[in-house]
Amino acid sequence: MVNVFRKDMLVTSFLIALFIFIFGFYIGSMVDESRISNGEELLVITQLDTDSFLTEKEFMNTFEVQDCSLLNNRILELSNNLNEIGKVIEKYNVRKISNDKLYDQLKRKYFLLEIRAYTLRKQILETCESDGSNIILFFYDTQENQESLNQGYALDSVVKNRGDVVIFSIDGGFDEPAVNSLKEYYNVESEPTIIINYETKKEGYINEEEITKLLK
Amino acid sequence: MVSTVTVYLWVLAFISVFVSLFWMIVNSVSKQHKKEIVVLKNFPKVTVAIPVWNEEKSIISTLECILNLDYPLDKLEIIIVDDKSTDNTVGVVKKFISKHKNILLIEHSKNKGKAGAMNTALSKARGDFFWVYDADSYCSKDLLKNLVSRFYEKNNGDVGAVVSITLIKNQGNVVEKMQRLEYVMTAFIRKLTGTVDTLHITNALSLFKTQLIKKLGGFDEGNLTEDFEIAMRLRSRGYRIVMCEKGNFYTRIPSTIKKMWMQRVRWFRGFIYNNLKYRRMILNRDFGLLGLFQIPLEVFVLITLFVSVIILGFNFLEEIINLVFRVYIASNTLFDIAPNSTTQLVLGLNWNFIFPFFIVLSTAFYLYLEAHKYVGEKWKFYIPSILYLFVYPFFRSMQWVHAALLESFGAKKKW
Repeated sequence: MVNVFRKDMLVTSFLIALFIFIFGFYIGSMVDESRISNGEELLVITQLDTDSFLTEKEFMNTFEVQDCSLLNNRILELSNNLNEIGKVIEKYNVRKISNDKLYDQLKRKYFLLEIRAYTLRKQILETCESDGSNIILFFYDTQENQESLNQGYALDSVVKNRGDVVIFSIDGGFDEPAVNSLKEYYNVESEPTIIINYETKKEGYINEEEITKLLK
Repeated sequence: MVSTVTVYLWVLAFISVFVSLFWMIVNSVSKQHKKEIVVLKNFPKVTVAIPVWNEEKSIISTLECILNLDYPLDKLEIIIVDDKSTDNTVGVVKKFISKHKNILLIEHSKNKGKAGAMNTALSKARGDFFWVYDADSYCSKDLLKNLVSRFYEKNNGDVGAVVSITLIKNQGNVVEKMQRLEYVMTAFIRKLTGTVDTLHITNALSLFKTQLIKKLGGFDEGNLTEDFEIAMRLRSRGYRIVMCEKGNFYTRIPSTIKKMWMQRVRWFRGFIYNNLKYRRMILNRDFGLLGLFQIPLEVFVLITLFVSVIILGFNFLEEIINLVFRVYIASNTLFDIAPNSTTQLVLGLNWNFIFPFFIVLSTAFYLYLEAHKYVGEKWKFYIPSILYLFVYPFFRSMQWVHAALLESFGAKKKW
């Protein structure tokens, strides 16, 4: 048989492969954009929930109507929603191929909302009696930190087994003044670190049993 | 930032797609070329060399198959070389040849291996062509005629060997069925490499020019894959190897994983050894597409297999460790599915992996279908296909690692 090889066969194959991959990257960046807009959508809803909560709280303060049960329930719901959104955003962040800045902005918005919810919860505790639920602030490290991952698993298990625990997760390495202030306030030097009910600080991995002992 | 593993997978996927596309184009162009058909008027003499070792059960059917070929018997010289069998091979052959004049039996006083047996046959060969015939194989009646005719095609004066399509005899269990798919793919790839003149391997029923092989010093005794070595030697001396697309031969393959593993490790050791032996051909312009594309590609595949085993193995280990921790720490959350919406589920998928994987799989699947069409076998999607496409590559990587380790530590060569 005649040798059918021509150089343009290699060139054509290369160009088609390149086209497929450029198309792939295009699809990838479109998926990234969809992730960001989905994350933003989720955060906008949470932002509205937070604003609604604040408005309600302000109304209660101004008209001296105190419904602690309502406030406790709402902040609990808000915190749980935030926790779920955090998992989605973190998953998106791990899968991203582009738009680093936009992802960082998304994370920033998320952490700010979390810190705000964490602070609001503290404010409610000052005026209302506790509803018995537990708050855990969790500082983790995203850089291949097995201990942080394990701490996350242990906290998931605590949440599932107890049902009265709310987790606020913060990326300890994220460069945001509010995150830094929080770290400074609790003197967090390494991840993982957990702060239980605004007071008890535990550094390094803590298993489920030990965490449970420290809860109300 | 995208992880190193992701970038590595992308590069690998890009090269795989590029190479697959190249072969697709070659396949499509080659279909448009008319094949030259040479009708032999004078049949040249062919020496059929059958190295045997403990083949008492199969040798008679092999000889009968040769005697029934569509080729003049007086133009056949059959030389059986017994490599010190421990069974009754010699007795069985002696009884058979007492009735046939053109069969010669040579007995080795000690085991010299397949290449040694072939060299013994080569030293006695008087044929124009030298046909190596594995004792456990059989072929279609027209194969020899078709193999010979390829030497007489226009512009084939520099052809040193002709190889045929190898299919398998035993297709009973899953291991054998899985190998059947591998042989189908191999036949197709050889056809494609033959089309662009980068074929550089011979197989169990290859036909050589006797004088040329003698001139080159015969087969390399002590080489684990003497058929690959002779092919590389032919190519390194400027001779071509072509594929005979008409007529098949069937060979017996290992039927257990252990036997298959040992056979592949031997092949892969031979591949590594011979590529190192003929390393001057790699990226050498004098060897055209073979030196600049085919051999470097094969070496690249070999290297990426190692890197893949290390990188993906490490990643896999990391995932396993993670899973173990998760089971130990929070087994109650193991099967929890986050209450995400469909959009979040789709967006949360690892498209960095899924997209290139899908593209590579599609191109591979296309070539897989074409391969079946080429050898005239019906394609079906069953368990062996799934194993061949998704599980076997992992085993193959491990076999390569095993072979490389044995080769680098200079382990004893076993056939």
